[in-house]
Amino acid sequence: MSTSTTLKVLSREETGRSSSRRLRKANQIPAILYGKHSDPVALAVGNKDFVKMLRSIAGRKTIIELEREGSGKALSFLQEVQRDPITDRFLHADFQEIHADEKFEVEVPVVVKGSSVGVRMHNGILEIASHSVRVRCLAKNLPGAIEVDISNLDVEDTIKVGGLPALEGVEYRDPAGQAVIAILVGEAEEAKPGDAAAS
Amino acid sequence: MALAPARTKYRKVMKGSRAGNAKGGNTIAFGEYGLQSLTRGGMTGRQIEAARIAINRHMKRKGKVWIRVFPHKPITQKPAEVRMGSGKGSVDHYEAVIKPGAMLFEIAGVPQSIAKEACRLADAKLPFHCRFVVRDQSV
Repeated sequence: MSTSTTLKVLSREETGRSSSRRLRKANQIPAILYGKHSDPVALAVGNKDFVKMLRSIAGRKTIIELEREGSGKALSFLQEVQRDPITDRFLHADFQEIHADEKFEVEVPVVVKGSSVGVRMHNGILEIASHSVRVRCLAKNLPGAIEVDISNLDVEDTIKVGGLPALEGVEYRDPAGQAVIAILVGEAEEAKPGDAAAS
Repeated sequence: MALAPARTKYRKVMKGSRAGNAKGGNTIAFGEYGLQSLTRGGMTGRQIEAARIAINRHMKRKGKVWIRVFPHKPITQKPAEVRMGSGKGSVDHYEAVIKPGAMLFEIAGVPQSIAKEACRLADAKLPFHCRFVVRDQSV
């Protein structure tokens, strides 16, 4: 289950495009903390600290403890990160505030474990239809990722949300029939006339 | 066969603008790897097809490829050795307007080294600079 990580943040008064640009120039990332029981708070995070934190959590969903000067700590998780599509620079981060004793909904990444029989032996193609699934749980039960063992998966087999491993205190919120992982038949893509003409 | 619209509302369109960066379709949405444009230009249906064939041929038709762009824009051309005037030329081909950041192709189901080489071969067919990108696992 989930471990927590700490991140130092600063509150900021100024909002909007120009102040955000000034922050980014000063090597900081504008961020926001919002939640069910409190008003949204505009924050600024050090770029270095943020990148370090992202590396430490390595793509897993983790509870982040925000240390705010003067306002104490806040439990949260990373709801969204905006990046520049060309430079890959971090532009903005959204933190969703949570309470330790209250259930919340969150997108958790799906991690594939093992190598499928269908891919190894029968020339199948592994398709991850859902890279993340929505779950509802308490903070202490938050899974970092949903690990799915695909070693027994053959061609034309599908793992749906209903077939994901049951975790204690975790409820899947996506439809049970939604496909998560599938092994497609190899050579499924028919040779198009262009291919034939070119070869 | 080159991609082209089945039918269009208007036969010919004005040149338009290619200013700014791609606002949508600039992230990996389906696959594991992608080919992203870094500069701007027009991508004709034939170029899309040439790049697709280059990718598929290198991947030996394993894995899965998504084409994220479509040539919607009709491009007109006057016949050779025709004097100026007498109205706009006839539609010659269709092209996709590509702005920096646009994700052109996505690939899944093959190792990264194969996907990277496939994208390099596809990039060679295109009239603008591209880069190979991998799905961001850190966020």
